[in-house]
Amino acid sequence: MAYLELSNIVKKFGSTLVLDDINLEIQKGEFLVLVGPSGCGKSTLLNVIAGLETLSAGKIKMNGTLVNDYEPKDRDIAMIFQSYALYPNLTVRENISFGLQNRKLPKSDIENRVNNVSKQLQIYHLLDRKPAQLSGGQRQRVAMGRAISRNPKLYLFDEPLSNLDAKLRIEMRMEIKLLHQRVKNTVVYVTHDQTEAMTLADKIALLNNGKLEQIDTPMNIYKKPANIFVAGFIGSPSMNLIPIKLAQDQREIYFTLENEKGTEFKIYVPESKRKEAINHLDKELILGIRPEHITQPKKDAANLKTLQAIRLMAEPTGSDLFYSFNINGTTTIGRYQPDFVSKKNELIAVQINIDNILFFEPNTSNLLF
Amino acid sequence: MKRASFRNITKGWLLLSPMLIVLGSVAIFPLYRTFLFSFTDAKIDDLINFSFIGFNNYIEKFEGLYYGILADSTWWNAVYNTLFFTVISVTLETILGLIVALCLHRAFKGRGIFRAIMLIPWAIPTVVSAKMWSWMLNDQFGIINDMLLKVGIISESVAWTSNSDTVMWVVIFVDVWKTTPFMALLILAGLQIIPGHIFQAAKVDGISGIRLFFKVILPLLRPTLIVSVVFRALDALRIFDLIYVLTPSNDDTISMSVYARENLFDFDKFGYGSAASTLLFLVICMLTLSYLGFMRLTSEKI
Repeated sequence: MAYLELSNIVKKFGSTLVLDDINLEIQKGEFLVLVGPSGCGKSTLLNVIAGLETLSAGKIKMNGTLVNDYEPKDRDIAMIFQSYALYPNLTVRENISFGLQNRKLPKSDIENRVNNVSKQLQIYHLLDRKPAQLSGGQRQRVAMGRAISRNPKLYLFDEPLSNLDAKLRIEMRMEIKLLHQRVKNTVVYVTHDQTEAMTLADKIALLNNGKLEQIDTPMNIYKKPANIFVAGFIGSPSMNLIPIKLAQDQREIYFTLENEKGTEFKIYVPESKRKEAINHLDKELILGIRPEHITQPKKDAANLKTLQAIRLMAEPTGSDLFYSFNINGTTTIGRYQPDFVSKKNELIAVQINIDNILFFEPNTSNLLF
Repeated sequence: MKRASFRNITKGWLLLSPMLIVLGSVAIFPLYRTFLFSFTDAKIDDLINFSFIGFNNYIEKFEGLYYGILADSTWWNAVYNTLFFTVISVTLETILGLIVALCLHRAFKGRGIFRAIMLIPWAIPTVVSAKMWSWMLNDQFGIINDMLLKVGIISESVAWTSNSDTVMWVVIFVDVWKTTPFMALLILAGLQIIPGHIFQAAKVDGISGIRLFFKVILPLLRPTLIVSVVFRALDALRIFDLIYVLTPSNDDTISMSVYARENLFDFDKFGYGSAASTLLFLVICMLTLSYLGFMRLTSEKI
């Protein structure tokens, strides 16, 4: 039985449909990340789970119990907000113990919990400070401490790292992951950052326009995005989406890639995909290929096809060098070794790993094969 | 460097000067004139020929008896009335305003309309609303007596605005009716600065509204409340129009301002009235400063 079960969740604000028939299941101890562009409804979904927003339709079950009409406090959840939502006039100690005092726990128990949690999160030395005297990272630690001290059934994170600077964000990300591995708590985590989603999640649920686009493990989503939207959203830089047409010659099924100069290169569809490809002959399709599968020529192998293209922009990131090309009239990004030297507008060799190509249907935008 | 900063300073004064001129002509100058007149025996119909009489308007010993404002029991009565009115009305307005603001802070259907309706008492000129209430409270024709009689709460008409037991409370009641919306609006502005996630976090943590209010919201509202109370207290200490219209020449409600006006215009003692005005100014000044000083001393750093 699923630990948290959402079925047919609908939420409307007036006539605007914010959540459109969402179905989700989370197992105990699982880390689920809700990801999507801003305005996709992910925070609303989190608020619905928390009970801060009412449902227009649908069912929420926790541990088998229908909790639709439960107050937030009766759902045994803890929430961590982007803005930390600490009580500014209370000390760190009071912030953590404030929620505990309500549960009529003995004083010594509260004290123990505050001490344990604050040692665990390395905020013990800050217990007597006020939130304004803390850095962003410390504040988020306090907010997490407040949540952990309650020992809830379910943790809800609402973009907890978005207010932190880049370096701190990565540090806190690791800490959250470590914490989850140690405590084995059940988490629903909202973010718009696909890297956060990839690194943290056991399971990613990708939302767009109030609809669930795909729900799967990070690697499955990365390797087999259900549609063009998911393909473009997960991964950085995004997956290249190139319009192509499948054709057949005496030998095999192929498609052509054309560089800016008009030179065409025939690329044969790999054997594993031929069965499917044969059903889509002479059809316009979208070819999906990630930048790491468009590289400088390394060796010859059956699955590596080399073509020539004019190198346009260069984006060095230190560890990688991203080049852009114009292929079939579409800007296409390839990942090169950082020491690769070339000039702008120079015709250079581009190697494509055809084992890792995907085909999408342009009208429905769904993954074909 | 030096030249530039000199030019900046000149520019600053230049930009400030229109405001300073206006302020000087409508605030400083009249204040100075009043202060000056308070040491003279000027009359309202002759503000040119007067002689300085020192502190005689304030206090004067004549044939073994003390005269002047500070020896006038009516003045002290007016001071008492004003302070009583201020303390009670501002306290009630703050508490009621806080309640209204907390209600309006929640999002509900028709909040905008309700907020607009709520402001009507504040939008009506005081003279108009005072007259309105004086008719409603009229002992023979007033709707209030009529309603109370019909319901059976009172057995005979009450002369609300002349009965010395009720008259001050009537003044306070009308002032509270009129000014609570203003207070509510100020406090609502203060409430809206408090980050909304705090309320959500408290809900999730199961902290009751009352505990959240006293432990978190009220302390966070403190700066707003201080400013609002100062605003209202300044206003209340100068109370004039409401009392002047609702209960004219009644010793039970006479305020410092009404006392000053009586002397300035009705009794033709311009110098004496000016002295009363000066004292009124000093009282307000001292009370405000000591209130702010007290609040600063007791406020905790956030």
